[in-house]
Amino acid sequence: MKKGQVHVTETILVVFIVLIILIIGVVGYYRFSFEKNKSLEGELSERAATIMLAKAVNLDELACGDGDCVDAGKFLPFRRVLGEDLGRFRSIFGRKKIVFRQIYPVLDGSVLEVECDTANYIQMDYPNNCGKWTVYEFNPDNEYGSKISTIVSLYYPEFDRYVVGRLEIDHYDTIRK
Amino acid sequence: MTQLGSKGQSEIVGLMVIVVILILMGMFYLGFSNIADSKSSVGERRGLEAENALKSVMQLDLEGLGNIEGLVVECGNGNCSGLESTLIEVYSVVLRPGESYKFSAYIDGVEIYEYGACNLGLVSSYPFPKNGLFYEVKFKLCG
Repeated sequence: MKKGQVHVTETILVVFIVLIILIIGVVGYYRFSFEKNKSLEGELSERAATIMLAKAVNLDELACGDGDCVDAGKFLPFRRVLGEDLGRFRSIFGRKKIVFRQIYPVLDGSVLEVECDTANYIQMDYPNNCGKWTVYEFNPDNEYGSKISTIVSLYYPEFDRYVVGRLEIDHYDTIRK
Repeated sequence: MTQLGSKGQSEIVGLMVIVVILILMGMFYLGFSNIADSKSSVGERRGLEAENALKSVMQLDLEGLGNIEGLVVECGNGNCSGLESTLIEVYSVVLRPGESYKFSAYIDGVEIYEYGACNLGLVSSYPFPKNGLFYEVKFKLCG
């Protein structure tokens, strides 16, 4: 092989390798950016849900008069208002599911997943006949959500009684495994 | 010819070294930028949880026992058994598995009671006046 031919072969090889590196770099960077954006979307969704966790307890529609607890007596009226003005609340809450549960005193296991509604509310054994209030739900694409929660003080104005509850928020903006 | 061949081989080895170095640098860059950007709101939620875990339990109505405020006052008078058994019962249900806590009560800044084991955690405070004394309850959430 002549010297010139060797140089040409070398140059072709170098150009080929540089091209391969460039392609790998571009593909790798694109995939990385895509994953990073997905993760960022998840973080932002989680952050928004965390803000909602703190904010929901202080919403006038749900909070007690002194603002230190959640008024269980407002859940049913809130759901009715929600149905009348869903667009407004969608813009506030977004794609989420907001659930309040009583956790102490401990309820009977058979009622833990029973939704509290008007039918339960008018019974004599209320609030021991149901375990949760789904006050808001908007998940049009039927996505799997990530759940975050915090402890809240639940107040039953009908009995002037405070119990311990848990506020759970499922956020659906991103599916997180 | 042999000279040319060995020169070409050493150039290819040099090129490969550069390629490997470039790939390693790229991987380090991507790895570190991912770590640097990884933020979470877990800390904020822990703070909220610690605050609410104290506030909601202090407001809780205990059947036949009044509330925790009353039990803290009773503890200040020397009887802490009611407070301790209630704390154990309530927090075993209210907190998540694996979470630990420390509950302490003070009268005018002097510690009168402490329960639980928890070193590093978020502290929340609940002050209340009763019978002319300044009571304060501190709750530390760990785990």
